[in-house]
Amino acid sequence: MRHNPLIDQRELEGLHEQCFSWALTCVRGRRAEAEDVLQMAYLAIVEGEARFGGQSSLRTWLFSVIRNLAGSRWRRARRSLEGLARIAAFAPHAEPFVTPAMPAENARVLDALRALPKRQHEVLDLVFYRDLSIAEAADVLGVSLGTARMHYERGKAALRARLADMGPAA
Amino acid sequence: MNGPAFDHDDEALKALVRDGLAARDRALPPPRFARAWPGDRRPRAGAWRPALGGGLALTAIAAVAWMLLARPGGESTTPEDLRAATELAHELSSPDYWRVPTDDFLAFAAPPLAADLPLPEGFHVSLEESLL
Repeated sequence: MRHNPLIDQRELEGLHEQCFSWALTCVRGRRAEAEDVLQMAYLAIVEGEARFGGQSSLRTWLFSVIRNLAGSRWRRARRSLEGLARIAAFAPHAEPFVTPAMPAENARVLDALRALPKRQHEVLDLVFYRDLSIAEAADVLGVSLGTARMHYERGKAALRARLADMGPAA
Repeated sequence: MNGPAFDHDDEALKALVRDGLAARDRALPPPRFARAWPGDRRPRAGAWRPALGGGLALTAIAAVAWMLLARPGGESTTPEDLRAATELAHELSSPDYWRVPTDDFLAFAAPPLAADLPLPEGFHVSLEESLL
């Protein structure tokens, strides 16, 4: 790749599924948004707006690019009228995060995760689901190790408390 | 090195989160890589903008054309209207039309003010006196 000589397209293709899953987390489960964000990330890589320097793993770097693009996209959208309409349409209660066919226990956990503050949600996703270390999660989130650890501990406690409040799955 | 140490409770929580997110990912599978990979395409995030711009431009052109070609009252242009418009155009384009009586205005001189202005007491004070 001309602008990113350290990246091999086949390597990216191998990480595509994980990247889409992470993009889903970053946009709180909205599929179309996740597709757009992922496409923007790939475009940024192809055009050299995002350059991989090899300081971290490719996966960690990709996750941080996706998260940054999702964040900037959301901030932009929030500033526009279109964004206001979207925010109204995709308020937490309206997110298509849980599908009717999903087992109740999974839906309960996803609801509880969604209710967490964004960084707590993200760090639990990275550490529990994607097996990143807290240091790697800190890289992805762009925060210090201590801050990531704080979000991780608080996220666990908040998730436990929320699941306890919600009671067992029906 | 910096990996979290999971205790029993953490393992249970981790399993719940993994199962939940895996169920979400099964419900929302990724698009094919080739579809997401940009190649020469631009992201579809802003694809509506050219369409919106084109639509607005067409609407503006249609509005201007309607205002020029059709009268708001919907009446067709009569020969009298055309004649009046032609005369008006002729008057507006004549050099005399724009020769407003500027010279008369420039020649106008207001008469001197005849009224006596009242002066306050002690107004006539020399500079030296005012500094003391």
